[in-house]
Amino acid sequence: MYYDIITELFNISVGKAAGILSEIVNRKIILDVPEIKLILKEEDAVDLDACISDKISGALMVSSISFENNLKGKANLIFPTEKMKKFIHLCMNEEVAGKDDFFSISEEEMDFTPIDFDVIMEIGNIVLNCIMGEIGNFLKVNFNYSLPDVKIFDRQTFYNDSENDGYSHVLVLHITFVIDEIEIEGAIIVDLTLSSIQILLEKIKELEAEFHV
Amino acid sequence: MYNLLNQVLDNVNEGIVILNKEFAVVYWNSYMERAAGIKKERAENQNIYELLPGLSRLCIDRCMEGVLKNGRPMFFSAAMHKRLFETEENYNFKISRLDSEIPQILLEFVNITAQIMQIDQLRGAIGQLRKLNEELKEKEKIIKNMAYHDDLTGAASRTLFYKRGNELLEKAKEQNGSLGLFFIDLDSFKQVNDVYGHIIGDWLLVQVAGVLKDAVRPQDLVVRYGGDEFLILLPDVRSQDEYGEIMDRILAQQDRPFEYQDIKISISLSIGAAVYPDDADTLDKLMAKADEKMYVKKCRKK
Repeated sequence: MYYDIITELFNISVGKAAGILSEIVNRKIILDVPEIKLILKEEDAVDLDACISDKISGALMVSSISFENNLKGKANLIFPTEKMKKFIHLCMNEEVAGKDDFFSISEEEMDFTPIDFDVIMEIGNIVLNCIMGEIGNFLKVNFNYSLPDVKIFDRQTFYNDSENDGYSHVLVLHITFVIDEIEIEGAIIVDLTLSSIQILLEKIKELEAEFHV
Repeated sequence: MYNLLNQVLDNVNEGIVILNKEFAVVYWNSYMERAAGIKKERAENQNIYELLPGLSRLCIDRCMEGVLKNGRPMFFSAAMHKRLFETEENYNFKISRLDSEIPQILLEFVNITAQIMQIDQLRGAIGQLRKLNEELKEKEKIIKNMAYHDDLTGAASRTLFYKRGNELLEKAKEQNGSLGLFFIDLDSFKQVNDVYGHIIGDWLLVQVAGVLKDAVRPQDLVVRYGGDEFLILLPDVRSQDEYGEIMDRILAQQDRPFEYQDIKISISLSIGAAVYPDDADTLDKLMAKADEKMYVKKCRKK
């Protein structure tokens, strides 16, 4: 039951992010959180990989923020890199050169440029802000953090990093981006410490109890 | 100290603006004077959206309100927010909250025009490289074609004969199939050269190659082996019943003389045929067998 409650909660917050993004890029952007999972890292180490690679393949483009006061944790917005070039160009409202055009190269053939990283940083900033804002409202805490770091990881490095950072629990939100004809399956991974997750679970139980009254 | 900080802010290489919670300018550094073309004196106390209409968007206003409320900084990329100022320059900008008794908003503008230009140049250079690469590939194709085809007649060259012949033989062996080979010689070609000269001799070879190409099936390969000798590779041909029809089509053309201006030249062709697996099991042996049969036919004519 409480998964349904928080899924609904997150859908409201990504809806807000989609509204802001749509206005920025002057195109209709739809964001949806179809599924949420809470994973205990030690017990379900394999599960995290399965949970993500089910939907996301190839290298990962990750925007991360770390927060400390009240709750300690780290939130990552993850995209597969393969569709990102086209996605970024749609966001920039620029024509993407065709592969048969000799004089200009298609975007897929070029590595990510600093400008691409800036675009992802802005999108990550908006989406993570809305999500963390919602978690903050829910838990009645205010998260403080700086702008996201944007990095490209191969899958294994990302998992290794994630395994060794001392957080016990991971909240995984699958997120779908739709812009024009492109649909991108991404994920938001929120690493939380044991105490933070306990606060979160208690709040969810309280909310669940309120529903039953 | 305040004077020193003021100097620092005037010397940093980015635009710094501080707004009160009504979004009116309380500080505007020297960089902003140059970037936006608006003097400090004019900017102070003015609403930011009136000073910089490029920022006047609902989404930015909502984010600005959000930053003021929750203190989380927001970043906006030049790529998605073009023409913030009335110039061609491109700026990333960041909105943060300054916490004091009354919270204020800090705007930072970083010029990334040079980066965008460098990326465009790089993209252009890669495009040029790709174009060159395509041209090279095209040339490589032409060179390959030259190696695989006889310049004069356009028939396949010896190189292509051995390549394709061995491939077909290999396939026939693997699949329990067959391969036919014709060895064709133009009778008395030396006399044509002697009587009419090499230009007409060359022209006649082109005509013969044309006759052979017209007579074969699409899957067959006509080869000019050298001088007046031609070969034809006939995939999946097993016996005379199967290649006889092709041979007849070729020989039927002998009856019609070729005309070069007012000169009429009749030709006579000798054809020897050999078949894998009945006659031989290598390409060279197959060729020797077909040559031998051709020679027998030629001798009979004399």
